[in-house]
Amino acid sequence: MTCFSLQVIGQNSVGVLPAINLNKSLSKGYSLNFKNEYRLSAKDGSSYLELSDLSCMLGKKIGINHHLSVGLLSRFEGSLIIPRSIFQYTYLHKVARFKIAYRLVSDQTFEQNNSALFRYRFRVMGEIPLSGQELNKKEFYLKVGNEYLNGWEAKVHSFEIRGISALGYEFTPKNKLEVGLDYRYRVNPTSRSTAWLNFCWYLKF
Amino acid sequence: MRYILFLLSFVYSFSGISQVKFEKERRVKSVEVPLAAFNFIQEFIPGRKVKWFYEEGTFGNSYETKFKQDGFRYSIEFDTTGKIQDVEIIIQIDEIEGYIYEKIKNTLNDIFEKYSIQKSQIQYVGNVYDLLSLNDLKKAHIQQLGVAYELVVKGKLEGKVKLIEFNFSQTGDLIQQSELQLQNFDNLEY
Repeated sequence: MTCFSLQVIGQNSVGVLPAINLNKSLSKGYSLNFKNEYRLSAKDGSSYLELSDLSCMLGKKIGINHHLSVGLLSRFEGSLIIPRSIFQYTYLHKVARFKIAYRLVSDQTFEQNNSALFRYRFRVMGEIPLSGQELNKKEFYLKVGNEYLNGWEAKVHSFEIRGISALGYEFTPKNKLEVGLDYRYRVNPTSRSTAWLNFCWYLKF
Repeated sequence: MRYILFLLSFVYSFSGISQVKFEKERRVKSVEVPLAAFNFIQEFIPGRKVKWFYEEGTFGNSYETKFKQDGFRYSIEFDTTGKIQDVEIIIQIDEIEGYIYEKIKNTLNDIFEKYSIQKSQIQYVGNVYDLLSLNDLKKAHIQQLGVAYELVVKGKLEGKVKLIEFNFSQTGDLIQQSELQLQNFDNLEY
């Protein structure tokens, strides 16, 4: 894992986020999404599995460009299983050669012996084809975005900004692989920055 | 050949068949572009460097260049020998003349349960001399040029969301429709 080590000035944490993202279209505009993500952190020159997330979302198109999803995420952290409920609204559109998604998420995390964490997140994500005006199979693309997260846990407010950039390759429109950098800067209650090298494989059935 | 394809697509559209349009484009260097096409662009926008694309599609292959001029987004298409096919300019749908716009809207309302227009273009065809005049829209020989409208519409049809490219005549009559592959947004959403 040392080959994935990243150096960040003023860092608190670095690591790798490998993930697999499976999507299935159902009838009447419904869809299912499964995501399995691992967080491998680097510490003192060695790496360890910090946690893993397994989520399942049920989506529904509510218009031509609007999508609503609800789901559950289970976080496996040591011997703990932490549940999180998720409500998500996405507005998807295309401007010239850019595909853009605006996402609003409300999630609630319920951890034993801790207060519930309520988060409200807003993310803008864009995809730019690197050859031509449209993304075709066997072509590379760039994915860039920003996310702003507000959280409240026992009246303590937290605020985090995330910058996401990835280089993607489209094997087919239903099979994409992305490798990128996910930089997270927590402003409140204490400042902390983390950088993750992420790998995600998107498959649609 | 172009007229045969046009006729075929006309027959297709009225027989209710909506063929799936295939398009794949890649960037090419200006030296790979046929000389006639390169010279046209040199005359259209002298001294400007433009991006060239080679497009493979259902109706044949072509060279295309896209650029911005005086605030308008142009797309100029040539056949593989460099002969100009058309000049397209991106417009807002409400820029189309009133009664034509209404006719197009009525057609789309008849086809879709609901829809959203993703892209609208005005398409000019004609001889090289008249097409060259489009570099300055205030002085363009619009009366001498053939006009059509191309719309990319995302809409709900028989309970399914589809992406369809429509071609309308100068008077707003539907002359062709082709289904396009729907974009996959999963990697932006989740």
